[in-house]
Amino acid sequence: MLMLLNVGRSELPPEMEPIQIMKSLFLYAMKYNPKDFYHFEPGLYGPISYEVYEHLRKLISEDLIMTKPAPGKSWPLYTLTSKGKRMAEELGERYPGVASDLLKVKKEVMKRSFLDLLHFIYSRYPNYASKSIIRFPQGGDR
Amino acid sequence: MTLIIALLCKEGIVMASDGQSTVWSAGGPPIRIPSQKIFPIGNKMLFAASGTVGIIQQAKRIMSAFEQDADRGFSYELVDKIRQNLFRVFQQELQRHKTFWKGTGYEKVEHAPTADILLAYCECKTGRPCTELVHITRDAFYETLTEQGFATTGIGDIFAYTILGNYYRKDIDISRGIILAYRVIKTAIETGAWGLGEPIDIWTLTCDGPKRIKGPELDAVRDAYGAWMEAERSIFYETTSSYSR
Repeated sequence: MLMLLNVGRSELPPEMEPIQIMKSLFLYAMKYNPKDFYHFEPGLYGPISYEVYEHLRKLISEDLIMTKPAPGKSWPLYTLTSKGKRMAEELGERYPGVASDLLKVKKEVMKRSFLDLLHFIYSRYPNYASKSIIRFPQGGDR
Repeated sequence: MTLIIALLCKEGIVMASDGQSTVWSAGGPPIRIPSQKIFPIGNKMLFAASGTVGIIQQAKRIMSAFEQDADRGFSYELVDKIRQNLFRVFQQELQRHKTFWKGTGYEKVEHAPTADILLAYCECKTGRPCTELVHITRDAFYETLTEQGFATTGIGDIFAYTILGNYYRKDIDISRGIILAYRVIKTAIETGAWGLGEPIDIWTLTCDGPKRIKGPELDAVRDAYGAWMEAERSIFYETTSSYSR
């Protein structure tokens, strides 16, 4: 989580929306199949992991990440604290391959609008869209 | 101040409220405190109330005494017993209020402390939920709102009627019901200025009994609501066109 929030900070916004975090970690799990990672299941807006939410809460309580209000949005933005940034940088140096893979998925996610992101994921992983409250016509382009 | 809503859904009932109450400090202005407004009564009933905190506390104690009766099954005799007990409390408080404030101009009925109560009931019969919604008013009159499918109490109910009028239908599944309930309370908190406040409290009542949505599950509801809003905004701006007169 800390590494995800830290990678690409020079070229991408320093904050992430919760759905961007969730979908980045999901794409990372699907593409790279890491061991001992978050478990994803079909949720109301596609793949979801309650462990991700638990982890976000834990990292806030440990002063490693913080939230900021997102104007006009119902969710907060998540960003690293200075303590979290130091820890993320140490992790990045220790695991450069993971940081590089996380950056790839983060770029894939951050360049898309909200609906484009959902469509991108639902079209590739339709099993995870089965409980979604947002549906797209099959084969429909956006 | 308070807003509470209850929705009948395919799999049971969703109840949601805001999370703040207004209480009177001694000699000072009213203050806002965090407050739980929805409570399970046994395994088949949820109780919620708007109104004066002290009366709600008394009403909750009365309700707790009916826990075993409620678990045995719903009946209008049970509702009537509850109503009669609440009536005694409401009436005593009204008399106390009128006696105490007599001659000051503040003794009017509308200033008396009272409570407006919602009861939601869900019992599983042959694998299917049978649900009831009962509204007990501040004068202990009661009405069933099961046919209507939803009920509200509290000051922000105009938001509830507006949003539910647009989106609620009786065959709504409980996952959508949760997000719809979240939207009603969130909109009222964000738009209204009457002392409504976070945290949003959501309960479900199904064949599995009462369950509070909290922690990571509530975070997921917040984001599902956010996803709905994003989709709605996109549809409005992407699928409608502008024109100049």
